[in-house]
Amino acid sequence: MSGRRAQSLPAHMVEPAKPERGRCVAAICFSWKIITCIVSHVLLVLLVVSYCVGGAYLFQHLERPHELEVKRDIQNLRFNLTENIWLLSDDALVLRESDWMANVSKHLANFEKQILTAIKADGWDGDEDLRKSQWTFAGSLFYSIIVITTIGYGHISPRTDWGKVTTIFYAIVGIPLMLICLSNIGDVMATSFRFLYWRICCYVCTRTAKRPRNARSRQRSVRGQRYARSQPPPSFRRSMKMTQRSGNDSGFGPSMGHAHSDPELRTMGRGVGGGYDDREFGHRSSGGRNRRQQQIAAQPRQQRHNIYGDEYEMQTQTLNRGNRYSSRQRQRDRMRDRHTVERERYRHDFDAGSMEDFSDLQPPAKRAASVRSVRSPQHQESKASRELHRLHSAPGRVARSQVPSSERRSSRWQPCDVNPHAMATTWSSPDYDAPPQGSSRDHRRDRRGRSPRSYEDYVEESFDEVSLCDGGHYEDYPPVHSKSRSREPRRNHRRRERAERLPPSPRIMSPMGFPVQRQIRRRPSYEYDEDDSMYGEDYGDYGDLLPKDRPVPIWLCVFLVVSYILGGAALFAYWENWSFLDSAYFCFITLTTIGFGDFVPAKGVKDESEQSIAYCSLYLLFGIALLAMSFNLVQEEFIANVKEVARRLGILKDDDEDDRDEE
Amino acid sequence: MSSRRSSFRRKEKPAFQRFKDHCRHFTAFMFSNVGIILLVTFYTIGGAFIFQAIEIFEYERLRSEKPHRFIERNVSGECLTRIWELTAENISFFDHKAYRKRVNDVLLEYQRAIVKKQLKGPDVEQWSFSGAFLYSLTVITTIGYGNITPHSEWGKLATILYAIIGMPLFLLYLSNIGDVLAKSFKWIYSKVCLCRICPGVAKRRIIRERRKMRHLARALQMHHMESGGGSSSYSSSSSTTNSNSSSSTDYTKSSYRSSSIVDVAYSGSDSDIEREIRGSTDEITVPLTVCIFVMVGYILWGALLFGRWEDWNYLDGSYFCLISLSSIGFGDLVPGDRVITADRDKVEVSFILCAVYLLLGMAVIAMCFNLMQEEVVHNIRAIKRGFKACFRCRSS
Repeated sequence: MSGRRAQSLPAHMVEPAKPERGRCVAAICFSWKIITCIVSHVLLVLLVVSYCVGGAYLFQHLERPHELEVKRDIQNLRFNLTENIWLLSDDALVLRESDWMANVSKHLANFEKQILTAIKADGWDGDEDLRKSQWTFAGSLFYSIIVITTIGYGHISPRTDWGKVTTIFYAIVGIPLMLICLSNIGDVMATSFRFLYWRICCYVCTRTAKRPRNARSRQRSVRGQRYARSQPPPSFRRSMKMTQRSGNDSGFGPSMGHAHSDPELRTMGRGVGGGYDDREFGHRSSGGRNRRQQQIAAQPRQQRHNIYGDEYEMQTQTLNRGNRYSSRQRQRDRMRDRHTVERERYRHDFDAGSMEDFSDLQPPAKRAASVRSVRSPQHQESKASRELHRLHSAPGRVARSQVPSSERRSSRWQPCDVNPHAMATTWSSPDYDAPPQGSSRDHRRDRRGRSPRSYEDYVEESFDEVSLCDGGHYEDYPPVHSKSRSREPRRNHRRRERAERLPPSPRIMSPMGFPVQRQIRRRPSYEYDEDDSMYGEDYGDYGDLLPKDRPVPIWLCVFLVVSYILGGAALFAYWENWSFLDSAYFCFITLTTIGFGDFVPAKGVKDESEQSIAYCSLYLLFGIALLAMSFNLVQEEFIANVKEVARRLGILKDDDEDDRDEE
Repeated sequence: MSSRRSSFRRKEKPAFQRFKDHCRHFTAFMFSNVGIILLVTFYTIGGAFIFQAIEIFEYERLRSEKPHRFIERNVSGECLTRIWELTAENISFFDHKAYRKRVNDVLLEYQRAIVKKQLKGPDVEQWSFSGAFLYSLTVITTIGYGNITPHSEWGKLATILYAIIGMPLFLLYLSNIGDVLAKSFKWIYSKVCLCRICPGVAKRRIIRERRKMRHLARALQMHHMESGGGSSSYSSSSSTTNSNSSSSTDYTKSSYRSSSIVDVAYSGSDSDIEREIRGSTDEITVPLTVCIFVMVGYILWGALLFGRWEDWNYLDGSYFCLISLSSIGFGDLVPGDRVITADRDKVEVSFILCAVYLLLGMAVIAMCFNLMQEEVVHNIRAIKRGFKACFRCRSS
């Protein structure tokens, strides 16, 4: 028993408890992670910078000769005209005004047309000075930035054919690169901003919120509601909202309240979580445990449906446990704060399952030993079997019900739960939908410095520890779990239906800047096995205690952006001698990447063009990153709000559309 | 947006139940696939009217307040008379150099006047309805050609507000239409390219895939036999007790599992295949090449179209299309440029043509990104799986 307890430590202390990893491998993994982090952030920025610089050289090389040529052409044009006029006057024997006028006006009209063509088609800026050029290095750099941020002022644009071709390819490569970089920066900024906000600005209220949370063991639902009512609004505004909403429309009880920070993910969680559970259980059951454990694994399927009906019982359990294991519990609860109710549900499931199970099984101590002995090989084996499972189910997309790995399992399910099969027929590719959920969880843990494989470990740990906890005194709890069975499967079913409707993959909605960032935000920054965790909205887990779920309020982000625009407006008004409205307009047009180009820096004050180009580039790069950050911070809550409105209006089916509204 | 708000307000009065329902339906319709097109179109048209009105009104107001600014100087006439004066002055002593220098100065001044007038921006005449329509479209798509820009302060403010509301709306349009297009494209792709219309071909294809998969599964099974043994020995060294039983269970489970998978792979029955053939098209991923081909095709088609319409060459046309569809929008090439195409009707038509091309093209691009991302995610997942497997066998 004690041995098992040692193994069921909270997740972040598990490294020593996984000796099969090896210290060397762990070190390699750790350094790999660090390297990946450096690569993803620093190198990406460096890459973008060097891409811009390279583009600057390239465009300067391509466009500058043409520009000088156009300037020379204009001069020649004028000299020619002068010469013509001179000849006209000189040749004429009698200088008659009307004839002369007619001739010269024809020449002048021609001249005007040529100048206009030079401006329009050749991009002549009206300056004849050969020493000045638009395509200086700074100008070309600015141009490259303008292209890859898709602002596109158009004050300078390529005029040669090669310049155009180069621009096309430069944009094709550069725009995604820039998006990735910006989303990365926005991610980092969002994390740090959130950190700042919750650590520094709201230190007091978070602190007071946290202490009782730790003392009270697990019952988040009660806790969430209570704090929602009692705590100051900024810190728990969201949780209140969430709990209310989930209480309203999901019927899962308030324990869903904190589940995910992102509603989409939450629906995913509700839906896919079920399927994922199945798989996890399945692997475990077929992975290496004996019959008893399979029972345990299969039982929760049944129990889960009525878990939420028995809040009271759960509470008693948890309180009980909380008293007994409060010191360990505290640590674990910190971890759990960041984790989702999925896991909570796991735990409950396991509570229930092991509880009923144990009543006809051997004494817990013996079982503990056996479990522990099977543990370490079983990790690997369950993973391997899952691998096989995936490999099998992915290419052919066999319907789930046919997947043999669930043979024994499904025979168990069938009496108690029809849903897996109902789901299986319609949702025929579990692998396609489920992994993002899992991997996002994987990844979430991973960010806390654990290895990617530890998800199962974790579940198992909770399993073990919980079964351990309950195993000792399971007689205290009568098996109540039959009363709500009729109600819950329906919900489960609905959950799955909803999950089915979710897109099989995230989408990019437009080639434009902002909406994309949400989806591809994570892609570059993680190692190979996190790559498809684009669903993951779990960017906040920063260190151990940081409240990742809690968003920064919308008004703060809006305020930030507006003040950034206004501050930029003031600065540009000072630098460029524009009026305040003009510079605010300029900032807005720039940051939204519309980029009309009617106001462009470094046009009015020619002397300091390089300087103001530098200012403008910095301003817009940082500003776009800031916008990305605030989209990052705001979107979840905003989507939640919009969804709420849509739901209340009864246009639920438009949820997905509505929430993309403000992304 | 406004309709939603209004229905929201009405919801507070339970007496208007039916009216509320109507509003709800209307809103739902407006945010559905057809409605969003209408919504965007009407929003753009409304924006066109608003901007046109604002700009023309402000122009008139400014003109009445400060008339001296708007007196059209006859620059060329002035220039002409000055040159004539010079010529008449110098007719007696023909100093070639001095004369030329003076004329050149006059011409330089003239040239600067032209440039200034040109760079000051287009005048109010550009705010025709179609011009304003294109303008509002470029605002909400964040293309921003800048060939027409607001000059009045109210126009700028209105642009900011218009963009704040319009851009999310357009994004909504994009995602919605892109979704619909992606679905239909997938459907078409699955029916035509994967030959799901013809069940025989599809069946054969699936059987072939099954066979491949079976080989894979068998290889994996062999692999797990080895790795299972390896891992169990490893674990026996790490865990102190009961290593024998654990390794044996491990081993058997592994073999059991793999063999069962192979079984199903063998027994891939007809009904199963039928179901897969008739199954939803959601799991089909369209290859990247097809998406890229569609995008390139659309751009080239646009190049052809605009090339014919605007007398651009092919490179210019594709450059314009790419710059527009990537929402960069330099505005160096804009359809209906007044300097090049003087015909007024043609200008109007080309604005509308450009707007339609953009509206459609953005949706197509969104669709392609949609599909491409799906495919990329799918691929990455597969790679990851392979990599993980490799890693595991190495570590174990």
